[in-house]
Amino acid sequence: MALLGAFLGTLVGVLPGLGPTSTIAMLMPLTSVLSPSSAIIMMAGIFYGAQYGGSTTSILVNIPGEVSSVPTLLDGYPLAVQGKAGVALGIAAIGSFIAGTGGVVALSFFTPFLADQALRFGPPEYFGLMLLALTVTVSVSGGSLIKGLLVGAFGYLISLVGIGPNSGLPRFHYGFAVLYGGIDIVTIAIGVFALGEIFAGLEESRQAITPKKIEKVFPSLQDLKQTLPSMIRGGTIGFLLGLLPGCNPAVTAFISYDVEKKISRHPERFGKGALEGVAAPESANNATASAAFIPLLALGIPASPALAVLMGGFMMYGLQPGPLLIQNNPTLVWTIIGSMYVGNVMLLVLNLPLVGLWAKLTTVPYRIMAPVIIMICMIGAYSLRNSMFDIGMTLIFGGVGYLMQKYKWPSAPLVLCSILGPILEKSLVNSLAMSAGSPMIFFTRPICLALILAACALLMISLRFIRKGKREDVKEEY
Amino acid sequence: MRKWLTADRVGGAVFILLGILVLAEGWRLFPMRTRGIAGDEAFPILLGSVMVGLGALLSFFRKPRGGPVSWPKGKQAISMLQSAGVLIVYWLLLPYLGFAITTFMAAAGLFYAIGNYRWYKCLLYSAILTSAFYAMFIAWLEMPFPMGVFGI
Repeated sequence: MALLGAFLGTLVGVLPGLGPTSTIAMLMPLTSVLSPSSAIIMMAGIFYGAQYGGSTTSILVNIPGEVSSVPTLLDGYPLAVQGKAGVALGIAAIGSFIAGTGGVVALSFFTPFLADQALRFGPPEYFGLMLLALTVTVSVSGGSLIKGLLVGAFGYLISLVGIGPNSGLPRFHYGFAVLYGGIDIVTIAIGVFALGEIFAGLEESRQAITPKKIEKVFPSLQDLKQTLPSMIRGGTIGFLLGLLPGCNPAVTAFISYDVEKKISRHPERFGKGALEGVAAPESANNATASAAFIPLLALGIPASPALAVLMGGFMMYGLQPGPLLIQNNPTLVWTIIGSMYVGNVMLLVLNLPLVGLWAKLTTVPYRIMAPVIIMICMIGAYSLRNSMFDIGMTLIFGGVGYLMQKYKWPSAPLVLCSILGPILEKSLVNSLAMSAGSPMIFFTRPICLALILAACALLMISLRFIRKGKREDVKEEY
Repeated sequence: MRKWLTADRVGGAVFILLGILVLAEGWRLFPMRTRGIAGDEAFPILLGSVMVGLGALLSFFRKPRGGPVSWPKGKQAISMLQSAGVLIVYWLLLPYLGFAITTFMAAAGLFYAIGNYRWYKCLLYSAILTSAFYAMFIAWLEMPFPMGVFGI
C-alpha cells in the first residue's frame, strides 16, 4: 500500500494541477474495501509522494508540479538547460529522502512535545511568521525591487478575490458570480510558469529543452558533499515550520531557498543553476509533509486541505485523530508512522533509478514536447475545480507570464504572495479581534516580537545584498 | 511622446490604475467594518495604496531601465498566434463538444502550429495523445470532464 501510495503520489506531483487533495478525495471511496491502516497508509503515501513528484516537472520543463516546487524551478530549470537535469533530479530525490526520513524520525520521538509547542502559536505569531516569509519577496525580486514588490502586491490582490474572511461578503467580483470562488493559485502557477515558458520557447524556436548533450546523469560525491548542509538546513526549517497548522510546504520551500541564498558565499549563483537552490526547497517541502502529521495525529488539526481530506478518511473508519488516537489505537498510529519510513525509501528507489530516463526527456524535440505539455496544463487546470473558469484563468495568466518574461518582471513574488495573502490577512484580522483593535498585541507577545524583529533583520540583509549586487553590476560596466 | 512611453512607465501606470480600482473596492467595503477592528476593507486599502505609490515611483521618479523589447516576427509570430488561438477555441468548445473531441482537435492544431507536421501526422499524434489522456484521466481516474453533446 505504501508503494502504491508513493507511486500515485509521485505521479500526481508530476502532473501540474492534479494535487494530492483531489487525488486522495477521488480514491477514498475505492479504499473502503481495504483495512483502515492500509487505506490510510496509501493516502498518506499519496500526500508525501506528491512532494517528491512536484520537482520533476519543475526541473525538466519549468512547470511546478506542486506549488511547493516553485522555488525548485528557479535553479532546477537552469540546471536542466545546462544539461544537468539528472544531477538536479538526483539531488532533489536525495534531499527529499534525507529530510523526509529525518522528519519521520522526529515524528516518532517527539510528537507529543512538539504538538504542545505548536499550540503556542496563535494568530499574532502566524502574522509574524508571514511577515518573515514576506521578506523572501525581496530576495526573489531579481534585479528590480520595485517591480518585485508590485508583482507581489498583484499576487496579494489575486488572493483577495472571493469571499471576505470577516464579513462573508464577496470582494472584487464586479457582478460575476464565478469570482465568488476566488482564483486558484495553481492556475496562476501553471499559467505564469508553464504557458509563459512555452510561449517564450516558441519565440526562440527552441529545438529541445537542453540543446546540450547530457554529460552527468547522477550527482557525484562532490555534488552531494556540496549540498548536504543545504539539505539538513532545508529539512530543519521545513520540519519546524511544518509543525504549525496552516504552514504549507510552499511557504517553507520559499523560506529555505531564501535562507540558502543569504548564507551562501556566492549568492549570485542562485537563479542560474545553484544545486543548493534545488536541495534546500525540496528538503524543506518533504520535511513539512512529515511534520504536518504531528498536529494531525496528536491534536486532530489538519495542516492543509490534503490532510483535512485524509482526516475525513480517518473518520470514515470511525477513528478520531487527536490526543486519544495514540492512546486508543497505538498499533494503527505506529503502523502509519512505520509505513512513512518505508514510503520514503520506496520513493527514493522509485525516483533515483528513473533519473536518467527523466533527464532524457529534456532532449525530446520541442515540437513534440510543447503540445503535450500544453494539453497536460489545460487538463490540470480544469481538474482543480472542474471549472472552465480555471482554464480561462490559466490562459490569461499564460499571457501575463509571457509579458512578464519579455519585460523582465519577476514572477516568483506573484505566486509567493498569492499563497501568503490569505494567511496574512486572516492572522491580522484575528489578532486585532483578540486585542479589540490594539496593534500592541504584536509587540507584547514574545514569539511574535521575535519573528517581527527577525523579519526586519532579514529585510535589511536582503536590501544589502541587492545594493551590493547593483554596485558590482556598475563596477563590471566600467 | 513615444520616447516618454517606456515599458516601465506604462507598467507603472497600469499599477496606478489597478491601485485606484483596489482602493475603490476597499472604500465600498468600508461601511461594513466593525468599529476599531480591521475588516475585509483593510487589505484592499493597504494594497491599493502600495500599488499607487510604487506605480507612481516606477512611472515618474525612477529612470527607465532595460533596452527595447523585441517581438517575434514571421514564422515564430504565426506559430504563437496559432497556438494561442487553438487554446482559446479549446476553452470555448470544451463544454459543447466534450473532452475527447476537443482534446483531439486542440492537440492536432498544436502539433500543426508548433511542430509544423503534415496533416496526417498531426492527426495520428493527436489520436495517440488523446487516447492516452482519455485512458488516464477519464477511464482510470474517473475525472468528471464535460462529455458534450456527443457524450464522449
